[in-house]
Amino acid sequence: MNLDSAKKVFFLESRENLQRIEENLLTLVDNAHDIEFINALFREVHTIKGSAGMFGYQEVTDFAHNFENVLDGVRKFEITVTPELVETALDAHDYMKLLISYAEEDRELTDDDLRQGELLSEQLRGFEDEQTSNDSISSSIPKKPLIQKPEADKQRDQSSTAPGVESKYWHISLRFGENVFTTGLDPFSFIVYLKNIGEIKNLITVTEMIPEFKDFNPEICYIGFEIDFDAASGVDKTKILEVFEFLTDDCTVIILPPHSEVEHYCQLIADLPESAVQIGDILTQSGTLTKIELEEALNLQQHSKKSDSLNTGGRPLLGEVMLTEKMISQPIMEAALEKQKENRVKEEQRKRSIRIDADKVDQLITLVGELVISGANIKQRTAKLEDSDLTEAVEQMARLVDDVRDSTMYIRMVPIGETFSSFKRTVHDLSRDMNKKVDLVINGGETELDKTLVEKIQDPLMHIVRNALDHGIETPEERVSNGKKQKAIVNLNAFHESGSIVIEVSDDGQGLSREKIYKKAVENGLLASGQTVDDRTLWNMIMLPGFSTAAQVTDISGRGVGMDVVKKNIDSLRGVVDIDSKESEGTTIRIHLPLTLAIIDGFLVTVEKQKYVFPLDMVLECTDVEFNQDDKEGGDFFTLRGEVLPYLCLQELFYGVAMGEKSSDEVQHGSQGENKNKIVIVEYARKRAGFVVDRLLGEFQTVIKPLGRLFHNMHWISGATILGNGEVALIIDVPRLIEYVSKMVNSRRAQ
Amino acid sequence: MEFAIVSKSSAETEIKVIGDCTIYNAQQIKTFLDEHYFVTDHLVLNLAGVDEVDSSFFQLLVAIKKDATRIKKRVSYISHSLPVLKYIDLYGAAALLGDRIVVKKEDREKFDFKYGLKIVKGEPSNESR
Repeated sequence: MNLDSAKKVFFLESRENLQRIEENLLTLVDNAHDIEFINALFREVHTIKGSAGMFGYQEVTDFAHNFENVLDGVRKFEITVTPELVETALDAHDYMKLLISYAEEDRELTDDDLRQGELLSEQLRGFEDEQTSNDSISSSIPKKPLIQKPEADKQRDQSSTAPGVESKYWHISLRFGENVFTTGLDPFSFIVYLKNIGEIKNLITVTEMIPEFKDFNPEICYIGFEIDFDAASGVDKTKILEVFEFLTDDCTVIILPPHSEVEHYCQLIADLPESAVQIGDILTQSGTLTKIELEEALNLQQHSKKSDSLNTGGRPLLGEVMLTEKMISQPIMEAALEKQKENRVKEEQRKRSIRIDADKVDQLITLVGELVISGANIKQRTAKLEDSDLTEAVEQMARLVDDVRDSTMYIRMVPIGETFSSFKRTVHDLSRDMNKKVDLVINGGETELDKTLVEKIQDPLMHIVRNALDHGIETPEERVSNGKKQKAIVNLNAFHESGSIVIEVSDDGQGLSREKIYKKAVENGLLASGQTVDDRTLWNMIMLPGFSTAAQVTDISGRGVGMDVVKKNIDSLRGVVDIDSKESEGTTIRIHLPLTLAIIDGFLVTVEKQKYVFPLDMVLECTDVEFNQDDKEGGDFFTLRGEVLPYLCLQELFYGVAMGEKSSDEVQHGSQGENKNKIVIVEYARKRAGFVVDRLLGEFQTVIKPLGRLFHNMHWISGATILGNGEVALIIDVPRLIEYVSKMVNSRRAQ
Repeated sequence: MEFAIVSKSSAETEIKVIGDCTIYNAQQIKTFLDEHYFVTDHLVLNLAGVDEVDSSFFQLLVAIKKDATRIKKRVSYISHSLPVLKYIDLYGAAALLGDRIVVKKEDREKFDFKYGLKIVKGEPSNESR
């Protein structure tokens, strides 16, 4: 059997698993007690271990096994989550990633790698040892068990007086898989057997999941048990667990040691299938928890949720209103609701996704492109025939082609959230290395953009985020002395804006220093001494090549290392970078990117009989404007409904002077002979300009065809497209033109 | 496993359940009870002849009881056999089911009925005669 394709899937899925592991680990830092994350982590590592074993990647399996053991300990509350544990786990994640990539490339591990693996395994085992030592203490003195003190106790200072619940018995929760009866297992025998290693103090049969009798299937197991167990001396958790070892994987066995922390019960409540109300009732009525302890458990849940929501940027709390009513059952209700919500989210993630080879999608897009072109052809020919039925049919087809095109493009769209999340690790690592305290806040992760763009934007973004952390954000001490919060915030934000997607990276750091940049600009001859310049222009100068080289720049602006590279990368994606900054308040770097790269709605115009296309998303309006010679005295501006806009005559730019030469002087000197001019007003990256053309032809669907190397030097053209009649139209590079116009305007102003 | 209908009316139906009441017969028991449970106000199951049970039968007993409470019917279990009592004892379900339980003198030591909820919630369970 050929395993290659299966292996491919394994590597693909492992990468996804690894990514989720990383995400969960980073979330764990703030939510050390959220059993959901720990469970999820355990599952992911377990999956990798299992699949790696299937393909015979022994190193991966072995290492994952170590990793999994530690997580299992955490899951069972035997190992506490400490920052060291999270760091080690992150390293373990990285190592696993390395192992898997080696396996994928069929490479051998180097000695260094092996040593690193050994070291990590040892570290991991160190955490396990902590667990076994815990166990041995609790087993030797079962009546006076060890009380675990998780690090996150700071979070719950209000309850620090209550180290554990009163109950001096082990608590065992049992839930079975649906098929436990039909597989010939009877829970009865397990419980009878349990009596051999101690005394069952109380046992409650949980019957809440039994449905109405008419829907009741007698072969399915609906019941579960809550047991309070007084273990005989020498019996530890492992011993108890052994009793249930014959139960299959779909059974839930949760064992809490005597005097467990209230929060462990809180997690128990969250883990069981019944509602929190029901479990809460059972636990109090069976005497496992006192009413006060239950109340505390649920308040704790509430409390931790509250701090969660603060961390994640203020997600509103469902039960805040209920809480004010001071009724126990209300917070319980809230916990139950929250749980349902979690489950739903999980299901939604699971459902509906298929893996397609990117090539296949590209092929489809090419075909759709051809379809669009030939559709336009048909439309044009029908127009000549003046057959109304045919026209109608063609119109309908054109609409469908539109839809097909849109949905095809949509296939390539992926949410940017995944890219954003990968920065969590960067921020985590960098802030640790630089001893800075930084929170990464992500907004608009669901914003979708073309997959190619997502891939290409990763590096520039990384650069910007790194800059923000390195130069933008001050040390905690500096921040405090500046009256800021110790913990800085870096914001990653994405949203749509007039046909482009905007990605913002902002920080609340020290901002750019106007003075220093100005000085440097003068030094570099970019500005004349004493020349006035607005902030935005000045900020954008830090992206000029040569402006920012290594240490100098760090001194000058606290920003700008390699910003020219960032700009170049973004330029190649037809995007624009924009910088906003306020000294000592922070900096925002905004990247505007086109939504897609292949097909756009265009607006067709002619200039000197040659057809040109403006991307329709950027076109604001078309209008006739009368220029008279007087207006022109002040420069190439015109007034539209009271707003002054710069304009550019494309005839002049494209034909009046030699192409490629863009001396602004020459262009500005040209004047339009006619009085009435057709003008297209476009906007990009919050800048507007008008372009004078000969004729307006209307909307047109455009498949962007790249231009060959021969046209490499055509600066104002971003591509070409084929019209219905086979004619070629050139696509105008609006971002560049607008940039050009604003540059021209600025140099005018400066004069 | 077999059933003996002691009496049958819309007011009260009494059925003797005899033999092996385990998962192997669970579907059959359910089908039989479906026939009688819905058409009488008071269903009485005599469990004296039940000589083998497992958790599935126990669950079935709880399921009808729960449903009866819900739709305000009466269901009673009488003359529990020892195997049935063993389950009720260990599963702490004496109060949950709420039937009067008679244990012969010589068997008393075998049971202590100490498990279960301290307070039984909801409707007062329908005490058997």
